[in-house]
Amino acid sequence: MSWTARPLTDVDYYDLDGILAEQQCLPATFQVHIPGMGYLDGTEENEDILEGTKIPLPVWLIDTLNTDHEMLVETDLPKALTEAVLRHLRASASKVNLQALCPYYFMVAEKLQHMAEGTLPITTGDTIAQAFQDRLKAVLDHTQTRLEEHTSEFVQGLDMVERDILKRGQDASLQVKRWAMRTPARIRRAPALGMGDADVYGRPARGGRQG
Amino acid sequence: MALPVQLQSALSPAEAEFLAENERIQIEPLVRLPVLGLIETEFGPFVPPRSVSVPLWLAIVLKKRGLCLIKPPRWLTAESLQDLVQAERTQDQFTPLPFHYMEVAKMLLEAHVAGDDLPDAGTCQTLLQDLREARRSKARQGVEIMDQSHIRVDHLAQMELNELRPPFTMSFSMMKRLQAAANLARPGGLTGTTAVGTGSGASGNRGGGMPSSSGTAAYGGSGLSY
Repeated sequence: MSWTARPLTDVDYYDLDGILAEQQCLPATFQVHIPGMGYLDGTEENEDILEGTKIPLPVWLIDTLNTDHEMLVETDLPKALTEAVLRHLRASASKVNLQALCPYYFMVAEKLQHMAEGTLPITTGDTIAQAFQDRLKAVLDHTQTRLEEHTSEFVQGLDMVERDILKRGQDASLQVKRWAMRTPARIRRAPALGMGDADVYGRPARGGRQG
Repeated sequence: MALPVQLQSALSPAEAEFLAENERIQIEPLVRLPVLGLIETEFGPFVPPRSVSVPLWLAIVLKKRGLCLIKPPRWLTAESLQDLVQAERTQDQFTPLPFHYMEVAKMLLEAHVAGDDLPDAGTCQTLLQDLREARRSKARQGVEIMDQSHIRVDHLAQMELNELRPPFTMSFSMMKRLQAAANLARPGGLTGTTAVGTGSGASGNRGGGMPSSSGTAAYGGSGLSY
């Protein structure tokens, strides 16, 4: 695999999700001898990085190490983009647990495709784009419900971008419901007092007391 | 400007309601009133029982003071709502409804006093709920036919548009990015000469967060970076 850097645009630089996504590590093999950086492999034994050592490096570091002039590291495809995973995505995209594979799956995939500069097979990119679309239907369906992150299996399988979409959809629906109930303008007993208040939809609390 | 996430790509429902208050509605004044000279325009004079067209906000203010009767719009009766619900359930497309039907209906039903101008307020309430549910389930099915650059849906109302905007803009944005990344592997993809996709990566264009005034929503992949 040959990787070269792509120019950072201003928008991407400050994107928090992008920063977190680029924190993903890939196994990298150094092509040159680098003195004094031996501590990168986590142990105290070597003072320098010898040619051919394999160290897991974050994507942003690989990006900057491989400029147009020279390639300092060679990397392999991460586990998340192997043919096995792609086949699984092609078969049933919504059943794949992307959170376990890589929490920022789509952003990392996008970044790696840019870094690879067209050397990846066409099917990789297409499969991932199609998988996003297929999973999107399930995500948008669930925006009408109120799924909790820790309890729902469905949400646990989503990657961070999909969770963001889900949350925004849920918030928007909730806002409309609250507006329909005129909840902001109604005077209710504060939930901290008493046996529990009517919830935001105006349903009475258990125990029968109306807010 | 640092807006909270909910306000970044859509109006709040209260803002949508405010915009809807400008819709014109017929009222029947109960009391003689002189011309009301306001900043932009004037209204009046109000001579009972001649009915006159005023903005909804004015109608509600007068109604609350007992100075007028509001004539509900033609679609806000039990029979027409019944027909609309029927049509909504049988057709695949969305039925054409006034753009602000949800807000207008809500404000009129709230300003309504028993035995007054709106004959069957209770039934109207439930029928409106049914109508909303039918349209919402249709919007969900529409996601199936989404392709990567746009989706065309006619006759969506203001509140429904607002509700769909945040998740849809983000989804489209991401879809565009992934498709652009996939196109890099195609011949001509590196130089950006492919026909598909209009930019590389996440472009920083803020597609307008303001609502269009027509009922037709064409969700472009506006590249709204989240």
